[in-house]
Amino acid sequence: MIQKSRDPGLTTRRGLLTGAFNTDTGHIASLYVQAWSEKNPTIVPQLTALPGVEVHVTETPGKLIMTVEANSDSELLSTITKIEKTDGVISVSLVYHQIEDDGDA
Amino acid sequence: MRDTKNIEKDLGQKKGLNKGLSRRDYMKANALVAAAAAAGVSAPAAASSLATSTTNTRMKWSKAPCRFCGTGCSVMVATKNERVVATHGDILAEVNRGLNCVKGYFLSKIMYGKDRLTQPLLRMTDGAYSKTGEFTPVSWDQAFDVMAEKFKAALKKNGPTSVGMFGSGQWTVWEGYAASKLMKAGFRSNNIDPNARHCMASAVGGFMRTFGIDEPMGCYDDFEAADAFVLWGSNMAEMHPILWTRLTDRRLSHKHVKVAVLSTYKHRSFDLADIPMVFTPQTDLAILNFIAKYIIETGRVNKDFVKDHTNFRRGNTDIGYGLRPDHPLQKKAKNAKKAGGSTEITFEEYAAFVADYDVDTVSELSGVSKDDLIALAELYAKPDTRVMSLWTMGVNQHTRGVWCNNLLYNIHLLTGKISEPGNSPFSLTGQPSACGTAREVGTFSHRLPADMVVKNPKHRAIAEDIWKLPDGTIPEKPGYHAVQHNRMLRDGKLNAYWVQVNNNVQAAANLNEETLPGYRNPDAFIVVSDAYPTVTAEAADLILPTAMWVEKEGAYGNAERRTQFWHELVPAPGESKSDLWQLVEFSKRFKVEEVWPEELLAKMPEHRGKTLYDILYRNGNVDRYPLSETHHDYDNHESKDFGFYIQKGLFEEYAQFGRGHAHDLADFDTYHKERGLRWPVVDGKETKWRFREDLDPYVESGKGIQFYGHKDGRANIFALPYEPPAESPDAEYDMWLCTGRVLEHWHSGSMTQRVPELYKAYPDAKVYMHPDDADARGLRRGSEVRVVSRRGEINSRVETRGRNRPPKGLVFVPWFDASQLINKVTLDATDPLSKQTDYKKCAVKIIPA
Amino acid sequence: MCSQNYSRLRMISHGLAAGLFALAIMMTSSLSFAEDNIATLRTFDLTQQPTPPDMPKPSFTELREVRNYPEQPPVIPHKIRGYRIDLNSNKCMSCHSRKAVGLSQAPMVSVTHFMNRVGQVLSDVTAQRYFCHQCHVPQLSVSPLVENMFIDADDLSSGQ
Repeated sequence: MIQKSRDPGLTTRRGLLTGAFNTDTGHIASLYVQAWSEKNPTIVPQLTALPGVEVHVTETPGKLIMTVEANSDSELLSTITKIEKTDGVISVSLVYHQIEDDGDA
Repeated sequence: MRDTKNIEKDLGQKKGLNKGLSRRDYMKANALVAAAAAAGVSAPAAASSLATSTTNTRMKWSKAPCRFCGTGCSVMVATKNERVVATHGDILAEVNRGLNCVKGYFLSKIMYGKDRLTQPLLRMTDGAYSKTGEFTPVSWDQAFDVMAEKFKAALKKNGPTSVGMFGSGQWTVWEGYAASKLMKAGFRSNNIDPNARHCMASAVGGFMRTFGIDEPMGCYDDFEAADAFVLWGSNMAEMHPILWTRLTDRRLSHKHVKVAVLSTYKHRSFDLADIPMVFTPQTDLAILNFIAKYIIETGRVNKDFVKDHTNFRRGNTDIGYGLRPDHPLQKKAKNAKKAGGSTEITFEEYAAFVADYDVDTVSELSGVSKDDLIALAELYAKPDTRVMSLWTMGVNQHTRGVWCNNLLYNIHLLTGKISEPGNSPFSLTGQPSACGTAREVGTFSHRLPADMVVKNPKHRAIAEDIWKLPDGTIPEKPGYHAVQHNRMLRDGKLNAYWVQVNNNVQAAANLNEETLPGYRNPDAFIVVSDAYPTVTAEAADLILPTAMWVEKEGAYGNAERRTQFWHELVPAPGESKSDLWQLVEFSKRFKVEEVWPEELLAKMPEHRGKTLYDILYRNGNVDRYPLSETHHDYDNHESKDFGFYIQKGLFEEYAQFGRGHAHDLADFDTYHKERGLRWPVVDGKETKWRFREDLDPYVESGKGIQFYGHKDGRANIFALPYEPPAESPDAEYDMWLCTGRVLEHWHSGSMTQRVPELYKAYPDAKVYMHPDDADARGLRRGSEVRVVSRRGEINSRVETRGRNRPPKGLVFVPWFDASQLINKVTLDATDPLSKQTDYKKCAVKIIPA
Repeated sequence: MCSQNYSRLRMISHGLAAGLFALAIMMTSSLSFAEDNIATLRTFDLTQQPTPPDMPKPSFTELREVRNYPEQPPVIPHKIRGYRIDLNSNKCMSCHSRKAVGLSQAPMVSVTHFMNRVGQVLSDVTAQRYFCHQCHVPQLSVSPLVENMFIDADDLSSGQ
């Protein structure tokens, strides 16, 4: 169920218009993480300490919803690997992955 | 959770890219929702609103007619928590079938300008009213105290003709009716006129003179039946966009259909024109006479029709320009005092009269090629071409506007192309209720409901009877018309004056010499009821905050005789009150002895000691329907305040005037259910085409056609010549000035300029001019210029491209922009018959600023 | 707003009270009072001829704008200068028609536009919707003179 919003190699009018070919691109992904809920108090601070990670939902026992921002594929994968290795995490599912330009202004 | 809160906060504040939410945040929210959904958990509230939730999407939908033009589209209005939150075209409405123009689609925002007026403001110095004081908030009681004192003082000192009211074709039906009663019967002053005088008066004059009864015989169904459309001074593409969609649909879906567009400059309607024609201002009169000549000359007069259903008349000529009597042009005019006169002639005399308008002469005068003139005339002459003529301000805002209307009917009558599907001379209306209120209710200075006039003693007697008033209550002499209002304010003859639902300081021609000196005359007390602080409000002495559109229960009547109702959907902000409430509440301040003479009161002594409120609105008619009859799903602030269903009472009393007299309206409750009905509504059925047997219940059996507005059942064909305009370019003032509207703004922009999307689409007025004219003056697009006439000037910027493309020698300036008051420049010359101002032609010079 | 000082208006009144001759004097004298104007769409004395703002540049974000409500026609976020829509051609459709969007990646015209007056769905955009700019307008780079307090339905909670 990974949704990949755009293939950066495809030339589109929209891509041109929105400046997707700026070199400064970024990755946004969301993760569904299953974890031992009793370990939440230690897991969550560890995860949020990772660069680009925000934990959004913690209320449902055993389920964490988080987003990851990264500057490259490898950075994203390395962050996901770190999450998987965190004590108490059972599994990590990548639900959504988008490659985006950084031209917010 | 720190981060959850951040996201929620972000999303709560920023609902989309344009409000500052970064694309990245948006993507993050999307990512979050996707993951939450996958996990089967709830995302944070703000993020989850990206998905649909039934509780949050619940809105209440109700119908209402659009607030803007005379097309009369029906819209669906969504409300939530006492606010309008969405609008869209009403799919069930025959007029627009789900469509709106850009203004209509943004109706949701017109009531929410941050500067809504919410309490009365009175000019005061040291705690008391003073003409030169500063606007100070006061209570309604204080406001009405001062206002009543001023009206009473004027009545006492100078009599009923010293009070007046300027209303609108944007009044609801019952507001116009209540105002008319208050002025004509209560204060016994006929000095009430609507801004429809600036808009539709010439059309009314044309109808009355040709047919003896007002308003179009056809309807919008003609759009789907016509083979040819001719636009005479109407830029429908911008001003009647939804009717333009119907015309476009017909033209593009049926190859044989032709569109002819006549104007003094090229505009958006030319984009669809098969026969585009730019003519020299005022020469439309000659072109129309040429067409009549062509029809006669080529033997295509519908002889039976003409013989059985028409009369020929020669109208008086040299009738002046409706200027002040001491103006040289006015003094020179031979028939200025007998402008409406005419004598009977024969068909042969008429044919001889139009014979002068041959194609060579008219082509040279008008600047339209002979081929185009003939192609145009053929559309009318060919017996099997069903032709719809359409016109608005180009024809009506014309010093010979009534003539122009008459001449248009001539060519339809000569060919018998009238009162049947597709054959339709159609006078389009400017305002949403110019027909329903100004014309049908008769809020003009000379009129009463159902086409009756104050001059006619029988008509006055009918009104006095329905209103349960003593004989002689309504004065016989017509009051001051709109243009006269400002002149009389300046001259000190009008001393207490009330303006509702319009922005006449921005509209009325010759602001510097008439309007502003009039409003600021120390002998005048000016009250302006408005929702927003307009320039008219700024020039007033007392400003009354006013409920608008769906903040009250209302009714409008559109150009095809369709009456449409709406409920109050949201409350008005602050202390603002509807015009109706203001009128009726104000009437409580007058004891009849203070305004009526003893001899009148002696005729109906039972009225002694009563207030005007008791006499006019608690007369057994208006207060007949109890509160329990108001709709349980909708609020009705006025009725609650007065204790009875006032809108219904006013409407039903008013409807008595027209029922059985070819102006039949259905009963009140029916209109709340229907998407409007076209009068006359007889036996529950509306009438689409009038004057033709089987289509119109008022035509007697066996007559075929009956123009029953005249006793002999005939319509008049008028011999009327080309006469030059009041002012033409000369060596010094070398350009024509034409003014008008733009698609994005309604009239003076007081509503649409407060909608950001409409403002950003067209923020400032500009001077459209030919690139060669710009070059010749060393100007280019964007240059600042002064537009100067003999009366005043404005500064603007040059536009040499875009939607309007004037010919050399003419400039076009829209009037919606309060910062560029083009009415300082325009001339207050009027049609002497209709008293309607000609906003389409005067002489100006364009000077680099 | 009510606490404001409306002395400029008083000036007008004085001027006119003194007669029409005062008009010319007021044009100069009222300049200093312009900020006390009550009319919000005009920030100048009624007797003045203000210099109009420069012709604004179009605002071409090239990005879709959020609509105020679903039925609102989207505004045009791109350049349209020279785009003709007339009897012979419709430039907008060269990107927004059903087939053109594959190449252009522009949004396709709404499906409502394929329905004719009687609600029948056609194979192409209905002729009554032919003139796009009757509903869709570009935006210029200007700030509204008056803030609009319209509230999005989503921001109005049901209990509010």
